[in-house]
Amino acid sequence: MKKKFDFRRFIADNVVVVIFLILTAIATPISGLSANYILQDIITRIGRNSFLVFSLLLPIMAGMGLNFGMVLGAMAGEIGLIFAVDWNISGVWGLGFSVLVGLPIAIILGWAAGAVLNRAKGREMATGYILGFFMDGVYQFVVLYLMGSLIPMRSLAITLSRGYGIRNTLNLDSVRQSLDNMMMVKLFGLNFPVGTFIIVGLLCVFIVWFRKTKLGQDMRAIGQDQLVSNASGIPVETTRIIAIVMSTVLAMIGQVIFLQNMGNMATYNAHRQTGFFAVAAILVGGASVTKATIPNVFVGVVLLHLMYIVMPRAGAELFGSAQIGEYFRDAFSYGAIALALVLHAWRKRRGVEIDRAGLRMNTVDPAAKGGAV
Amino acid sequence: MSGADNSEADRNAADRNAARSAVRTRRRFVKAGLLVLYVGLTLFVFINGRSHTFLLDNKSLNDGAIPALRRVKVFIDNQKPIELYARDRELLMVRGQGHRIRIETQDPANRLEAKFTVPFGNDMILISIPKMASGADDFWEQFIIHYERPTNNDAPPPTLEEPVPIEPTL
Repeated sequence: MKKKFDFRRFIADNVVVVIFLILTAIATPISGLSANYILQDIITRIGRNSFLVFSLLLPIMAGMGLNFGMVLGAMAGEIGLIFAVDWNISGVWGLGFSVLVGLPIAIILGWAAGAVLNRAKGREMATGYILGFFMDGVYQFVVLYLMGSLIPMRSLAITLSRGYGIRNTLNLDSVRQSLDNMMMVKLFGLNFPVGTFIIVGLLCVFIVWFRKTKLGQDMRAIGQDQLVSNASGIPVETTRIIAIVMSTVLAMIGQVIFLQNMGNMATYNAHRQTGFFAVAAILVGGASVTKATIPNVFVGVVLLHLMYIVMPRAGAELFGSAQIGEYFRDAFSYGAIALALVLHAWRKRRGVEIDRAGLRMNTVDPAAKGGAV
Repeated sequence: MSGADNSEADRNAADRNAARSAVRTRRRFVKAGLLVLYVGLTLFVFINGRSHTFLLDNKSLNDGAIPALRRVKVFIDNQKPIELYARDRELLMVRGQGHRIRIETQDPANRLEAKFTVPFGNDMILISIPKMASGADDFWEQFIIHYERPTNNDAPPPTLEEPVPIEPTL
C-alpha cells in the first residue's frame, strides 16, 4: 500500500532543517553578498568541515548518540601538527606525518573514552562532553609544560620564550592548504579543492561499505537494541568501543584537514569548539541522536555554514553592526542543538506513551509515533 | 556414552584448540605486520617530507681567492631557476634529503651539475655558488643561527613611574 504524503508530518520530522532554510533564505538577500562569493565560501567550507562531521556517524549508528568526545581526536591531530611543524615536514607529507603521529594517540584516547562511555550507558553525550573538558586539561599540561621540557622540541619558533611549552598560535605555513591546492580545479569562476573532495568521497564510500560489513551490522544492531544484540552474541561493549575509536581517529584526520585549510592553529583553543560545530552541522542537516546519514552531513554543513557566511553581513545591513549577526548565528547554532535534543526526547516519550496505549487497547499505530524509536 | 564417542569428542576438542591457536598466531602476525608497516610508513614520511632551507650565496670568498660570478642561473631539483647577480643571496625551501643543483653562467659560458645529500638534522644549508663553479666539493655547509633566549637580566631596569606588579587574583 502506498503511503500518502503528509505535509505536517514531513515538517515535524525536519523542523530544524526547515527553520534553518527559512533563516538563511531571509538573511541571504539582506546580506547583499554575491552568489559567487557565497558559493566559493560554501565550497571551501564543505572541504574544510565535512570530514569532521562524518566522524559523528559511527557512534550514532552504534546508538551512542552525538560523540562530543570527538574533541579528543581533534587534540590528537593538533599534537601531530605540532610535531610536523617542529620537524619542518612540509606539504602533504606534513599532513601525512601529522595523521601518522596522531593515529596512536587517537586510538588510545578513543579506547579510553569508549571504556568510560561503556560505564555511562544512556548518558554518553553528557559524559563525552565532560570527557572533552577533562582531556583538554591533560592536553594543556602536555603542550604547555611537557613539550620542550620532557618532550624534546627542536624549533625555537614554536616554543615559548621561557624555553618550554608551545606558543598560543602556531603558524602552519609549511602545510597551509597543501591538500586543497594539490588538485585545485577552476570551474565557472569557482575554485574546487578536488584533492580534499576526493578524500571526503573516499570516506563516504568507506562508510557505505562499512555499514554492510559484519562490524557495521553489529553496530546497527546495537544501535537498535543493546539487550537483544547482547543476547544474540554480539560483543556489545567491544563494538561500542570500536565505534568510538573509529570516530576519534576520523575526528583526528578531520581536524588536520580543517587546520591545513585555516593555515594557523590556536594551540590551546582550536579543538574546543570542534565538537559543537560538528554536532550543530549534523543536526541542522536533519540528523537526530539516533539516526544520521551521509546526506545529513552535506545538507548540515551547507546550511550551517551558509548561515555563518550571511548572518554577520545581514546583521550589519539590518542593525548597522556585524556583531549582532554574530550573536544571531551563535544563538541559532546552539538553538539547533537544543531543539534537536528536545525533539528527540519528546519523540521518544511520545513513542513510549503510544506503545503503552497500544498495549492497553491491543493496537499500535507505528505512524502515530512520529518516527520514535 | 561409549569409548569411541569419547575419543571422537576429544579429537574434536583438540581440533578446535588447534584451530584457535592457529587463528591467534595469525592474528599476532597480522598485528606485528601492521605495526611494522606503521613504523616504516612514519619513517618514510618523516625522512622524505622534511624541508630544508637553502641559502644560495653568490659572494666572493672572504680571502678573495674565488670571486663572485657576475650573473648565474641556479636550478635546484625541479624548481624554477633562480638568477643571481654578484653579492646576491637567495632563500629557497626544498624537501627531502637528496638534491640536484645545476648552475649556468654565460660569461664564460659554463654549465655545472652536482648532487649532494643533506644530513638529516640540518635545517639550513648555505650553498656557495662561486665555490661550486670553481669545482670545489665542499661548496655547501650547514648554516646555524645562534639564538639566545632573553633572560630576566636583559629586561630594562624598572622606573619610578612603573606601577608595583601585583599578583593576579581570581
